[in-house]
Amino acid sequence: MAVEYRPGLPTRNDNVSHRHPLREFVLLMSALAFAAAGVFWTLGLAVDAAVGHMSAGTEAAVEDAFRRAGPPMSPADPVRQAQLQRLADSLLACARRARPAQVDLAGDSNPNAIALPGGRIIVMSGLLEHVGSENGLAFVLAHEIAHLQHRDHLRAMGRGIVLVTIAAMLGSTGPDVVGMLGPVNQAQLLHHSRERERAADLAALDILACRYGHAGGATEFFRALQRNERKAPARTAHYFDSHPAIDSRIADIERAIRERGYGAGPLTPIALPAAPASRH
Amino acid sequence: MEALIFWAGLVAVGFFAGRWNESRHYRSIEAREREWLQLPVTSAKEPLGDADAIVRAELVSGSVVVSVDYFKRMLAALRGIVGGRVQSYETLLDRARREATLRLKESCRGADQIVNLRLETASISTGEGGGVGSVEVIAYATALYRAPQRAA
Repeated sequence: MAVEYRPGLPTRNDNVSHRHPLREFVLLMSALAFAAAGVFWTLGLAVDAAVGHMSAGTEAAVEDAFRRAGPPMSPADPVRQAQLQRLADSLLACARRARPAQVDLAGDSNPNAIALPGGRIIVMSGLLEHVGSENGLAFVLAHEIAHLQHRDHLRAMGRGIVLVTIAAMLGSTGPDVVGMLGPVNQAQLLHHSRERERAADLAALDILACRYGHAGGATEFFRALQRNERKAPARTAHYFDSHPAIDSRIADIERAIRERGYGAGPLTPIALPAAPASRH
Repeated sequence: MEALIFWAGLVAVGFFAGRWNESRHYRSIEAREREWLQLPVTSAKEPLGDADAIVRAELVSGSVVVSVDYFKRMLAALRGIVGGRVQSYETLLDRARREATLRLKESCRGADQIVNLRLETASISTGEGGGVGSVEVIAYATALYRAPQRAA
């Protein structure tokens, strides 16, 4: 049997896909990002539910674990830090929180304060330049204490764990997704949703009124930021990325003061010594 | 953020360099396939035409190792999550198979035909994570030679 050889090349390569690889890449990336966001959102709701049902004992255990894990801070200004701690302790007596809160003063020019998973409150020294009275400062501390009281710090931590877990699972196939999502995780640890911020504002108002007998000075810090923002918009804009817009926040606080009949009384002058030069 | 930029940079380098390399390789493959079109290669065990004219047979082989680029690896990793055709490795293996066959042909100039062609593929892993780094394709076959034809 003789078979004749007829030279020829196929006109089309059927062994490869002819779709553009970028199309596939974008399609797969967006599908995965969408799915991951969906999982994050769902598990975030689960975290909220779990934190809501957490017993006081578990809450204490989680906070203690994180307080030990946190980096020891050398106080930027021990005298002012001790004063902040005393102020916070007096506010805690008015808060629905049985556990203490450790206040640290960090040398940072940003006017900000944050509540951390270990039940710690970090006050940036820049914040002190934006409050004129003890009442104004007390409101900001009370706001952070309210975050602790509402377990917002545990919610943020739970979401952080979910985020890192998802990232680690995705990252096991190749790139360092955990590293890529680091800033995202940091941002979501420092910021709470608008409703959580509003709830913390309202609870802080109760604490303030309990401590001083009136709610004077509650909006002091926000008004100072508002003035600042008009002068230099970029400097404080980041603080409000996830915070309710400052104007509506002030309006909400003032409405709550009227509704709860707290009124305004004399402000206590701030007893802090003059601010030393920032060390950072 | 830095990690994201670094990763995106690697993907971009992988994409552009990979595309450039691949199209250059395909141009070379297509030109050489046309050049070697007159030398028949089959996977049959029997020679084409008159078997009695064959005077010599020898084992010939051609092998090639082609590396995957970062973009292709990412695409394959994404595919590894959801499943489906790994499009990014198809061209890689296609090129490797054709290149190996061409090298095999180039190793036996003067042959009348090549029979019993076999192709084998091996992946050379990068070690970490077991990801595919490069693929090797080896083609081996039997080259058949006729007695040199005397000018009439």
